Amino acid sequence: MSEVANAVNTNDMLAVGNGSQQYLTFMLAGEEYGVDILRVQEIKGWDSVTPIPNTPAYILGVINLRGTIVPIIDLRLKFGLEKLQYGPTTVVIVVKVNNGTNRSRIMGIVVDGVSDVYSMPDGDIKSSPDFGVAVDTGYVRGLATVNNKMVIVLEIDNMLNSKELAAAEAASA
Amino acid sequence: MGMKILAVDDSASMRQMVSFTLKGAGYDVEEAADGKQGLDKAKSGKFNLVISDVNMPVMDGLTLIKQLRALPDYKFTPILMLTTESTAEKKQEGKAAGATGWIVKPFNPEQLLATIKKVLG
Amino acid sequence: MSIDISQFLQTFYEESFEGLDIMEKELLNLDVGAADIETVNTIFRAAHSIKGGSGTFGLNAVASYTHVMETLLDEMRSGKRSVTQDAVNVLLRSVDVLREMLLALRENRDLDTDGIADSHRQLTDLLNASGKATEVKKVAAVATAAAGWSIKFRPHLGMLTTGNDPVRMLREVASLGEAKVQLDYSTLPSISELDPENSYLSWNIELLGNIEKQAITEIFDWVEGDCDLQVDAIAGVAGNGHPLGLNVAALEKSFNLIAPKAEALVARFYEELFKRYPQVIPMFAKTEPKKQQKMLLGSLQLVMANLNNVEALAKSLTALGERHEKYGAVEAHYEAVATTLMDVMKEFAGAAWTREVQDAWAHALGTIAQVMLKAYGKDERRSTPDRRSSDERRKPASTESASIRVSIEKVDELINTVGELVITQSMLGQFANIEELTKAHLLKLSDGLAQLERNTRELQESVMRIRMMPISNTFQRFPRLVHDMSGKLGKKIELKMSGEQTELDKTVMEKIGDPLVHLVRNSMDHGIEMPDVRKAAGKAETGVVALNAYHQGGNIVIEISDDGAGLNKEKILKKARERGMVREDENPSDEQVFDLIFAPGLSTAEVVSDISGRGVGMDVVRKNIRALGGAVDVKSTPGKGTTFLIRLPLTLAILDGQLIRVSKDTYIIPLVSIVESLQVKRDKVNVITGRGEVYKLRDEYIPIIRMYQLFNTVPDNTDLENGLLVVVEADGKKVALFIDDLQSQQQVVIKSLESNYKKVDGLSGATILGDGTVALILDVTELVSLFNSQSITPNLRVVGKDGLAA
Repeated sequence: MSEVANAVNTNDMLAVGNGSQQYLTFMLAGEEYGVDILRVQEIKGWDSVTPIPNTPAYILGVINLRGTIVPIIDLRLKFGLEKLQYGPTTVVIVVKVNNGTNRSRIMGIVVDGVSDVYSMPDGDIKSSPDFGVAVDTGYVRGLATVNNKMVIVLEIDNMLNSKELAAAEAASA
Repeated sequence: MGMKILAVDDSASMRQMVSFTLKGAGYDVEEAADGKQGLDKAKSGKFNLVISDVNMPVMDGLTLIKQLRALPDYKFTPILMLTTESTAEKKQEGKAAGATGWIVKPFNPEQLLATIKKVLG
Repeated sequence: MSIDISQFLQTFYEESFEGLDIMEKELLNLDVGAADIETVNTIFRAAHSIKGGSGTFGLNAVASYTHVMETLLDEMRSGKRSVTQDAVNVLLRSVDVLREMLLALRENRDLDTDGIADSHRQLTDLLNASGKATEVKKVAAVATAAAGWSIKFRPHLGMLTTGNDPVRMLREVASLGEAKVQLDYSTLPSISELDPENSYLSWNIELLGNIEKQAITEIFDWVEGDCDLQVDAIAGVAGNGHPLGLNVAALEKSFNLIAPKAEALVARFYEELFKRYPQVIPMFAKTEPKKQQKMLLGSLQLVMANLNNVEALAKSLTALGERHEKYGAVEAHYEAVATTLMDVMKEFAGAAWTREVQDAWAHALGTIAQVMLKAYGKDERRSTPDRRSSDERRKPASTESASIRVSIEKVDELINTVGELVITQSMLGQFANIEELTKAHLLKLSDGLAQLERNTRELQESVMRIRMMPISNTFQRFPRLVHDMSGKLGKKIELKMSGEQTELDKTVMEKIGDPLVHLVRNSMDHGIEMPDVRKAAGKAETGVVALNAYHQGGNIVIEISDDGAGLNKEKILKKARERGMVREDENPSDEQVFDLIFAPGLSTAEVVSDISGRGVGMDVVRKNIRALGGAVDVKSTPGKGTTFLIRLPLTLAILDGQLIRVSKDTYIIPLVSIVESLQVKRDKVNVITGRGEVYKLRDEYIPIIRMYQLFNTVPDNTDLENGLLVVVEADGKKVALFIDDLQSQQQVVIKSLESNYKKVDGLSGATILGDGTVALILDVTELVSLFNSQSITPNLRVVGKDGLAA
């Protein structure tokens, strides 16, 4: 996965200048979602997790990522989609989530599979209408069309910040 | 050509600042935490300038200067005292010991550099 | 080039705190009356360093405060002043004040200006008490500018041996203006008599330009006494004959013209000044306008009266300048005043305001401003720190105790261990190329792995040791505490310390400080008796409080003992019975009674005054120590004294854990909180209606927490008899955790759950097990509150379902 990491580093500079960013896209229940590639730390295969008691179902638990404890979130469950049996193509995308302050957290999101890396100018991302998928539009930065396919660009900072996690938990408790 | 400066002060922050400032200006700087260390360092290599604090444990600055002046290598070397004491009496003590001049604390890096440049040309 | 000196501040703070600790320790060591000069010197040096550094790093308040301390100490070390108890006390207090000042600055808090001023006053009072006159301020020499200077510079023979080079000085002189240098070698001896180490030459320099004399003399400052130096103004070029170049006639004439309307003029002046420069208004906020106008008028008249008396003029202007510095006037203000004043005067003088008058005033006001500004100490030096101090404020709260000082030894040790690790690695690396493993290979491989294990353990220990510091860092505050408190209590107390070099983790040390202070205070306050009582009891009048630290197993043990009266068992028991903590028919052992002093119920102030024992906050002390994963016990013998024993883990990064299994998951319980583990006997289980299940363990009824319920998981079984109970103690209460299985015990490294996720109730963190998986560490205290918060009804319901209630 170091290619991804390298792409992150070199694009760090470029992305600012030309108003275009790269997005890693993944599949989830037939839909293609994109996240800012600068936020992607690595992509790893599915491995067993240690569950944390009394947390919402979509918090699958924690894993040991080279000595740090990293929480794993099932995006299907988070979006209220049907749970899928984890298999060989199931992957965990490890992302860096900014927490508003200077702190950032590392989290893993479980998705059906990694799809592609696209470069999209900021202008190509259109603000999202209310659409059928059970996704709070606050999580969505916008929609983009790539090769005649729709990509839902996610705002992971809104989706995975601690306030969001805490609120969800309160609701599920 | 690199000019070598020896900075002697028991205060680590002072040493850091002096050394950082002078290194930034292209000088070679070595540090010592008291007069004894300073003397040992001075003996082990020829410095173009010695800057020394006065009040230090183990061996004070005035003793260091006297000892340095007794060494053939340091007979004419500029030695500056770094001192908070700006009274004429203290300055005379320093001069009697063989100090070339003094830099009065507090000073800022620019003042330090200006003085050093004067001495080292 | 501009260098940001704030980068050295952290080091400065650290060394200053060390310096203050030294000062405090040595001050307490000082024998009043017969002070050891080396001790005084050590104290002086510490103050001196703080003063020097604070000035340099722009902490002006600290610099000016330490200056007084330093002066006082300087007089002591030079024998000009005797060391009195009074002086020691004032200095001790100033150490506190200074420490607080530095802390406040480091944390960007506001300074306690009142407290500082108060202590500053005490120090100056002490300084002046001996009748020593305060230093007479040197009146700054009048700035004398001339059109040129004639300089005669004749170094003495030995000047070169001061390291001063005449060429350097000549170069500097030449940099001031246009210089004509003439070499005088008349004193050069014949070559046979010439000593190359002497300087025989002298120079005559004619330096042209508007140069201040001081600028020239400063160049030769370092060789004063090592040379003859003569600096004379060059006649004929020095202007109009007035030493300051003032056009006295024009000034007087114009001022006389305005003088009758002077009061109106000054009023008009301030009106105009405030209109043009509203930013200066706050500077005048404290004075009445009328008074202010009078003052200005007075100054003007003073200047006019002394136009020809330059010395008097300089003196009063210098004083005026010093006052204006305090008002906060800066150079720009002088310009504002000068232009406004001239425009107003022009307005009043009308046609009499000629070009000559305008020039005369412009020059005069400029000169006045110069002289006044000169009184501002060294302006450059002053302006830098001012800018700095505002920078300090803006900086975000600093990273407190972010750095740690490590001895070279420890780092070397670490490097050695890593070195060994590298050797092991290269040895194991050989196996990568072997296609088929023979038995010999396997043996070697297992050797290598054993070596790797040893290296890893050593590495872990070395790294941990880096965080370890001697407990003397905490102990060192006690001499002061005992000194201060014994005075207040009217008791004679000697402090004995041992084991100061015993090391423990820095974080643990930072947190154990307060509980220790509490215990030592208690020993002094309630343990040690008054001298007459002790005498009557046949004891020495001076009581002893002893602090001792040592390692025991993976723990550090700290003992605080006193040879005082000991705990009063009867009184404690009586109070405990009154409060219903002990039943009338119970007859607890001594240990059980003494342990009650840690119970919250007995920790009220009212009880303390009653029991000649301990009280206030002992429950808090125990709580804090437990929060560190430690324990505190007390032993006491009536009439002989009391000893507190604190046991702490050496580090917070590692804990001894008991691995347990609930459902499929492994959890870790800190060993310190486990009382015992047991198999359930059905007849010992009772169900209390509405309260859940309890287990009868000897004389106690212990609530059972079914972990699978608390964690909402599916266990192997729900039958208590098929599982295990782990009895743990939290906050002095025992509970039994019902789990599926007990696994091994091992040391685990504590990892944070919060750094990437969040705090989870009932868990204190996580760790990584040998197989790389994550196990969660239970927080027993939180488990209990979690259990209590889950309402009563589910417990009842569950009880019914399990059929145990039947």
